[in-house]
Amino acid sequence: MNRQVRLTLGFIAPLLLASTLAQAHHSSAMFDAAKDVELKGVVKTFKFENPHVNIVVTVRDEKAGTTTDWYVEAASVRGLAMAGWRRSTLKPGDTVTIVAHPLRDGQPGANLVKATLADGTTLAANAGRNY
Amino acid sequence: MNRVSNLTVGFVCAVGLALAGTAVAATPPSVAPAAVVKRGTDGHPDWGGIWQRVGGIGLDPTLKPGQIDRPDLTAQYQAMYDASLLSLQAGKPIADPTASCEPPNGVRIMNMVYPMEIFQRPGLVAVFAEWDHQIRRIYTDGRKPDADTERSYMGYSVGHWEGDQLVATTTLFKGVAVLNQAGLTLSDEMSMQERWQQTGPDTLTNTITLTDAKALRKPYSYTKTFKRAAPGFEMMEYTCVENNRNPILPDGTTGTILQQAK
Repeated sequence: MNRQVRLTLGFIAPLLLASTLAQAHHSSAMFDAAKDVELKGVVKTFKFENPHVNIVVTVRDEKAGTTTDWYVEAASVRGLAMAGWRRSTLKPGDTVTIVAHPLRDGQPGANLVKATLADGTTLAANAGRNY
Repeated sequence: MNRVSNLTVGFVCAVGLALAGTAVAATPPSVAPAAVVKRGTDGHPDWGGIWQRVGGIGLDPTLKPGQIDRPDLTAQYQAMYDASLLSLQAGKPIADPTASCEPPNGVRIMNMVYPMEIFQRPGLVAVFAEWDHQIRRIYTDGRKPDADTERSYMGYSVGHWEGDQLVATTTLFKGVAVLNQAGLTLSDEMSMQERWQQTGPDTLTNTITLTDAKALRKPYSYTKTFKRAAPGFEMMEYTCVENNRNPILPDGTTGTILQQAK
């Protein structure tokens, strides 16, 4: 590998790693940390489980008349608990607005940034750098 | 040199410095006054209780967001690391064993993404990690590994007390030694030296030095800091296979399963 490629690698890789610090289980490089999607919809499932808490939210496209189930991956139970989440935070049928980094491959999957609940409460994806 | 070139050079230098990592260990913190150290029946410090990491989850916890560990690797292992970084750049993280729920090894577990609880009795310091419920046993009763000692993910740890410092050596690791999410990988000759000490009423440090004749051109050292958890803080269960949705794909990268399995 020549010097120029090494420099390029050194520059890009940290950007990709910047959003991975709160996860133990795997790198989040499959998500595009430079992009946010807003998913306003209805909770289909909420799994408060390890290694990743996850939310499936059904988002309706009014123009097309279609719905899409988005899989939203979050940190571990420990990570979300430290950020104020509980098993009871969401249940199927709840309305929720989620901001998340989308998968790079275009599939309807994303990495949680924050969620706003029906009562207006906003919860973060982690409690800062430590968890 | 024109203005654009100056800016470019300045930026590259800044990035380069940021990426340099810490090949040299931080100055070991001072030891806590003997009066604040709780002691076991054998007279050695007793660090029993729950502790939480300070800093990031790389090997060197003092790295800032966006920085990664950059030990001085041999050509073969540097090429592997570069390939992993290229894969990350393409948005395809490498097949990290922990993504498929293999336990992190005894070096990576010390990154303590989640808290740890220490249990002690004379001759043994046991470190229980919430991450994957792995337990490191550091034997201080004089035993040594021998030719029949099995390899294990946590490795085989033997130590001794030097005053109020616990000095330990861990060898005989099992599995591919991936040490961080960027894919830094060492060999089966990896050895971990640790120097644990209490530096305050509620602070522990552990200065770790990694050596590896196959993978490292020189030792890689860094210091972990842990704070005693607040009263009432409890350990949680972490079972990776509970609902793991990140399989290793045929191309060797980590995938994401979108459809609910249950």
